Amino acid sequence: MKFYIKLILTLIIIAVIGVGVLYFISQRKALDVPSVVQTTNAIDEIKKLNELSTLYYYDEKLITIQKQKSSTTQAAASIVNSITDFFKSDKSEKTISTTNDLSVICKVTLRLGYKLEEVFDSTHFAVSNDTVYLKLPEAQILDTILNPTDCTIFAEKGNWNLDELKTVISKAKMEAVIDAKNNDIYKKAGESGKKALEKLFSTVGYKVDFEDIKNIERPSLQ
Amino acid sequence: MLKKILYVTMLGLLLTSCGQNSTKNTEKDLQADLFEKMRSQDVAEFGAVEYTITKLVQSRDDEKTLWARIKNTFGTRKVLMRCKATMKAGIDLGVGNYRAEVDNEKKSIILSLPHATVFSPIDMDINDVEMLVENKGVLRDDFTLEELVGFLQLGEQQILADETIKKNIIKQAEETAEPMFRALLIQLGFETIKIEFVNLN
Repeated sequence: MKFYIKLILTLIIIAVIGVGVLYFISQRKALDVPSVVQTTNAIDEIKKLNELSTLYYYDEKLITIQKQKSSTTQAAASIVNSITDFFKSDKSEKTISTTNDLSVICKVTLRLGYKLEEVFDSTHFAVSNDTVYLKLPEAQILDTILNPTDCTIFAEKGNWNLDELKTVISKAKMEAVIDAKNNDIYKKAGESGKKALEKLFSTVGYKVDFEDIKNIERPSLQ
Repeated sequence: MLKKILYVTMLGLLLTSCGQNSTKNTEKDLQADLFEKMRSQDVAEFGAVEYTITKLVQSRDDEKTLWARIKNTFGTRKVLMRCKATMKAGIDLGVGNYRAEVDNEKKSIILSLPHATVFSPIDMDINDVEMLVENKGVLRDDFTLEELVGFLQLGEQQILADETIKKNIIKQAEETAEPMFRALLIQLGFETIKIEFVNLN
C-alpha cells in the first residue's frame, strides 16, 4: 500500500513538472512572435510616372541553397557517418549531413506593360480622321516584385545571414523572369495592352489600327 | 488506478506521435503543391506617380512573458534595418469603369475617370535592405532568417497601413494623370476637354 502511495505521489510530481515545462515552452513560443517598433515611413523621392501596366504575372519558386558546415562539424559528421554506414544497407543516405540548407518559398510578381512616352511618340502613334494608328513596341517588365510578405523560410539549417537571403531573392527573381519569357508573357502583355487601348480609344470615339504606321500613307500627327 | 494512469500516459504518447506525423505530412503536401502554379492577370493601370519610401525596421524584445524576462536577463537581442519600398499609384481602367461624352462638331469631350488607386503590390525589395545594427547578449541565439524576414514583413505591413501616405499619393496621382490624359486627347484632336474623377462603381 505504501508503495502505491509513493508511486502515485511520484506520478503527480512528474505531471506537475510536465505542466510546468509545457507552460515555459508555450511562453517561449509567444516570444518567437516577431515584434517591431512603430517607426516613421519617410518619403525619399517622388517621381512622375507615365506608364501603362497591362499584365501581372505571378510565379512561385522554391529556392534551396547549401553551404558546407564548419570543418570541425564536418569531421565529426564524417566519423558518425562512417560508423553508421557500417550498419546500413543504403550507404548513399548519410546519417548526418555535412551541409547546411536554406529553402525559401518565393512568390514573385512581374508587372508588365509600356512606358507611354515610347507608345505615344511619332514613330508609333498617329491619328487620321476617326482612326488611331498604333504600332505597339514589345511590352517590357516594369517591376519584378518579391516583398518580405512573399517570402517564407521553409527550412533553415545552420546560421544564415541577410546577404545569403539576398542571393536567394535574386535567384528567384531571375528564374521567374526566365519562366515568364518561356510562357510567352510579353505577347500576352501586348494583347492585353491592345485590348485596353482599343477600349479607351473606342470610348472617346476612335477606331484603332494596330498596323505598322510606316506602311500607312495618310497618318499625320495632329 | 495504476492502469488508468498507464492508459492516460499511452493515450498522451499516441496523440503526440499523431501530431508529429501530421506536421510531416503537411510539409510534404506543401512541397508537392507548391510549384508550377503560374498565372497571369490582364490589367489596364495608368501609372502616374511613384513614391520611394524609406523605413527603419527595429525589432522589439518581448517583455510580457516570464520566459521572455528570464531570457532578457542573459542579454537583449536587437536588430535595426533600413529598407526601401516603392509605391505606385494611378488610374485603373481595367474594369472599364470610365465613360466619355463626346461632341464631334464642337470637338469637345468630358472624360469621367475613376479615382486614382494605389497599385498592389508595393515593391519592397529585400536586396535593398541594409543591416545597420545587429547585436545580442553572449548567451542569446543569433537572429534567424525567419526572424529577420518576420521583422521585415511587419515593416511592410506598417507601410501599407500608412493612410497619410496613401491619401497623398492618390491625390498626387490624380493631379498628374489629368494632364497625361489631356495631352492624349489633344493629340486626338479635341479642343475643349474636361476630365473629372468620379466614383463610377
